[in-house]
Amino acid sequence: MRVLEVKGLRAGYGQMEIVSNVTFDVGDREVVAVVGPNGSGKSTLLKAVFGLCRVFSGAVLFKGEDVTRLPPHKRSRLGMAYLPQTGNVFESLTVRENLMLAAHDLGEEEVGKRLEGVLSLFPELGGLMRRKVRTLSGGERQIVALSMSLLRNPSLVMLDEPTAALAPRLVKQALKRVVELRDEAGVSIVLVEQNALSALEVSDKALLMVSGTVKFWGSSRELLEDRELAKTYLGL
Amino acid sequence: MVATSEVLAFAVSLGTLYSIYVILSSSMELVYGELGLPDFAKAAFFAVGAFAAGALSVRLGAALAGIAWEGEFKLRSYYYATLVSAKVAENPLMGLVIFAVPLLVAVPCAVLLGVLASYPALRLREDYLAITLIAFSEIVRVVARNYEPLVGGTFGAGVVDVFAWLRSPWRELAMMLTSALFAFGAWLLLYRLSRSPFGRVLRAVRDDEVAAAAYGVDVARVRAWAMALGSGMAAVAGVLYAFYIGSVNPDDFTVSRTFLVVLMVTVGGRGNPKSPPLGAAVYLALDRALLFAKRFLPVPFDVNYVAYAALGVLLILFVMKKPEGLAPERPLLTVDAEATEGVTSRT
Amino acid sequence: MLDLLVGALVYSNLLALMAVGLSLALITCRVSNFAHGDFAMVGVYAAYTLSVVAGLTPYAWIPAAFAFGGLVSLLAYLLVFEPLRERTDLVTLMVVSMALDMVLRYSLHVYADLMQQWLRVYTRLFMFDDFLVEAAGSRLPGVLPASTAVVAALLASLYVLLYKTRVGVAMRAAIENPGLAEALGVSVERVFALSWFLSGALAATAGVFLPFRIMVSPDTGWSMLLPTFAAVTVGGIGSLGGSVLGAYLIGFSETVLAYQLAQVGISTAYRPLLTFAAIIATLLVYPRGLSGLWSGKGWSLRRRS
Repeated sequence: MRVLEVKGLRAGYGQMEIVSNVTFDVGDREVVAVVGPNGSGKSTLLKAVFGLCRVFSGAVLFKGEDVTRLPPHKRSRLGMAYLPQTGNVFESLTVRENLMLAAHDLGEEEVGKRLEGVLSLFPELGGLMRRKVRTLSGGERQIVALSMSLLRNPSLVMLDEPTAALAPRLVKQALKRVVELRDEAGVSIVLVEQNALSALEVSDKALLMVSGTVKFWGSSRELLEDRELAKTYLGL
Repeated sequence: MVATSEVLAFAVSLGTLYSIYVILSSSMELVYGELGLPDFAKAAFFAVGAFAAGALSVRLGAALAGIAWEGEFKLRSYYYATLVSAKVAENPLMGLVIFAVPLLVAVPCAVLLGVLASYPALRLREDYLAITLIAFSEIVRVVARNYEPLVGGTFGAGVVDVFAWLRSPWRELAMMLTSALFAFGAWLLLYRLSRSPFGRVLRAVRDDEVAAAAYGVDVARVRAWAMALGSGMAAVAGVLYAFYIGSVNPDDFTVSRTFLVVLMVTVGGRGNPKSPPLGAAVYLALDRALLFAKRFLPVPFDVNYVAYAALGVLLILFVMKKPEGLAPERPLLTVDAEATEGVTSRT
Repeated sequence: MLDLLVGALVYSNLLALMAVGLSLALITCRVSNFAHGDFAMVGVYAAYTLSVVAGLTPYAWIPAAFAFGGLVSLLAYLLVFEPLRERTDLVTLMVVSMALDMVLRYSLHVYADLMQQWLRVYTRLFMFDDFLVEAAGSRLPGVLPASTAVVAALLASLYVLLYKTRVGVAMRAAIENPGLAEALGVSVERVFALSWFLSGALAATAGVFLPFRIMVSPDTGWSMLLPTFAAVTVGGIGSLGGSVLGAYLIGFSETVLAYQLAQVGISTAYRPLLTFAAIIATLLVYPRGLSGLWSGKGWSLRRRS
């Protein structure tokens, strides 16, 4: 059973269709990169999968269950995590309070256990606990945001351009961390990325979107080796 | 059995009040409906007109009639108002002058104040602008209430009967016709402006100020013009109101008055020039109906209270169920539909 | 002189509760709630009715007033403001709150009429009997220690709630970013409902103290409203701590100014002018208010937030 199955999804805002007939799937512990030029609907795809925008037709199945009409916070409780590009942390709260909030519906010891798990992935968090998030750097914030998602023990984490706010030399590092996540936390990952090359190097599968439609769906290696597509749409 | 003359008198009086409210709601529609600026100082501009009539009519009349003034304004204004009215009964021209002068004084004052009030709009978010304007409106009222030489403070001021040279019922009819004339003029002005390029500019600024500015619209100037017109109109309504009621009391010009005008425009429908007459009609109908019901429902409390509470409920219901109002805004079609059809069918 | 200080302190205490209450409504739904003053009056009439019907001084009925005011405010939120929160613009929300003020205020008038008939007491321009306390060599009105104690207790409890409990953190999070809170599984509607309950409850509690100092009628709430707005504005919109500070600032300056005006022979009826002037001046000159001095982030008063 695939962790996530998206079938013939058409979605958008209001009357406008942005995502047209997208089909792909994510298996256990797989990293899927979603790449493509600006405005191709990558972010909207993630939002549609999470339930934050209008779905015209198609289906979203999560761990076998049809969640297409389910509200976002319920999908969150089933194990789907979504990390938007901005507005993914509470700036006026401390790191500790942000994490506490992410674990708000968990029991005391469960919270303790998971916090330990997150801290082993991101040891630098330990020293930042009492800091207000708005005083942190872009990279530190992303770590807090990611930790908040991980605290909820998701099966699937969807990241919308996690490296966008990072300095170029940190991008490779950050994406390596993403892979570590897959290995150590055992989650499946869907990664929307502008840095196509780096994303394709760390992912198993790739979905190339252009103007809302799928131009390629298959292994990342294949996409990298396809000179035509890589050059035309990814500038590689 | 109600006498016909009573019914007539009621209708004429209602007609005058209706006309005054049409002017007020047209002015609010221009500034709030078309331009989107929450003019919550409307009562203050209304007051400027009324206070001009209150402060000037008796004093001017006394001067013109050669009556010597004795005693404090607040105590004697009603007395002298009666005396001057007696003189006007013999001299219609005096009545005309006494009517015209407050108009000529109030309108420029209101226009100036309106332009001034448009400037905070540049810097404040809409709801804080509204609060600022309310504060300003209350300052005007509190000052008038306490500075007695203006309109007699809490005593109020008497206003000359400028139609005293006519016998009843012609007197009241003349008042109503004058008001109706002004009302029609005000509404026509709103209507023509709304359909003109200026109207389009107003709505553009309302819908997206930044985009409008990017297309070369001088937003500050547009606001100033709209406020100037709106405030001038409100002042005219104020002058009419003072002469209609026959007296002026500062406590008549509270935020509640502004709220009623906002209610009229909301119920009537923002953005459609047909809304002021509609909204004013709905309000007055409800108000009179409730007063009428008072006669037939013996309840152990003042029915006026229910009237206000009902109006509150009405507004909330409209906002929740029919926010576009009774006369929703219609997009203005500038090009003939048939002409465009020809073009599109060929593509 | 002592009487001046007592008056100023009691007034400021009340304003603090009202201002924090108004702030809660403002930061959750972004609505400048013009019906807020009426929540205070609900508290007064609740305490008054109970003290007449069941005996005991109105002070004893403060918890009941707290509950009643909270309930009315909660209903206002659930029936009116929550459905409209994301559907309409700020000015319309404000206008709706004015309409709500009409409904509440005039319903209170009706109630006052009925209560007067049924319970045979004066329900307009009435005052409560206070007890006296011996302190500082003179006799002070009981409302001074009572209001100070209650305000201190309530504000301290609120602080604990917001900063030391999970519910409080969820509330602050939902206020900052309701979408994200929702995505993390927090029921924003429930958390906001709690805020609104507290908003009305605080106002109602403040209301109970009013008749110990001045004559009260259903319209008194409206006259408390402008100073409350001034306190919130001057203190810095969006900051609860600022509202408290603003309340004491406005409370003291208004009282002192009224006293000075009386000395010079100017009618104290001009007292509201200070409030209005404070609001206008703050919004136009230094919109961040006092809280702008200690927090970098200011609440957005500018257009295009």
